[in-house]
Amino acid sequence: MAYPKTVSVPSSFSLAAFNQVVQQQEQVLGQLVLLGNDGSSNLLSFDMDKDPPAKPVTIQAATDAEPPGTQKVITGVCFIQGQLTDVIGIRAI
Amino acid sequence: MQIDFGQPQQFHGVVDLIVGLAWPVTILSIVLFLRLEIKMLAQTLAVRAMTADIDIGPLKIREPSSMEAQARRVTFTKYIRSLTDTAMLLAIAKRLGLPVAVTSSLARNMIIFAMAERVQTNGDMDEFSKRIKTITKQDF
Repeated sequence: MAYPKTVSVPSSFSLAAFNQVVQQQEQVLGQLVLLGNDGSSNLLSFDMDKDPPAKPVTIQAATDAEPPGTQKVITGVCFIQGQLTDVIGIRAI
Repeated sequence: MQIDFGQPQQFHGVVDLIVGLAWPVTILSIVLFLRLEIKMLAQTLAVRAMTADIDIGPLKIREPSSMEAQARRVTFTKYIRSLTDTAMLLAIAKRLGLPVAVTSSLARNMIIFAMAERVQTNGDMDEFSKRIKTITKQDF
């Protein structure tokens, strides 16, 4: 059974800081299952019933090309440095 | 101007007494009549408050944790995820002031989330680790 928990991340974070937070929380809370925002902050949901994944997720702009050897695992709209951006989460295969 | 309701003077005191006592006596009667139900309601509320998994708002991240703090957070998470002793999980949850969990899996998740919520720096982890050391017998 899923046990989702939500984390709020400031909208001012750079993509690098945002990725750092996502990866740090995933190591503790479990797999990232939802990516979005509430109009003022970014909201991330993690499923605590799933063990932290061996390969970390990386968030990037949806317009950027996916690096080879990775697969898209999640999509969402998040604030990156205050700007609403379409993003995707990729994970190494 | 005084209104005369036609009541005899000697009953005024009795009427005032009845008016004054009507509400307190009614409420007291209801409380006495429903005392068992009120007791059960209070007990049910207390149990619900102790066992309900209530969250108010998301966990707010102020900034990424330092490498060292994150390594300690991960060590603690792995320790809790590997812990199979339900009594110990419940003892840790109780020490952290968490609601009573129905299953060990729920207790495990609540403890990890409480740590994620309370620990973002090395100082936070020092305090957190110290708080549960008498149960875990180790530092994180």
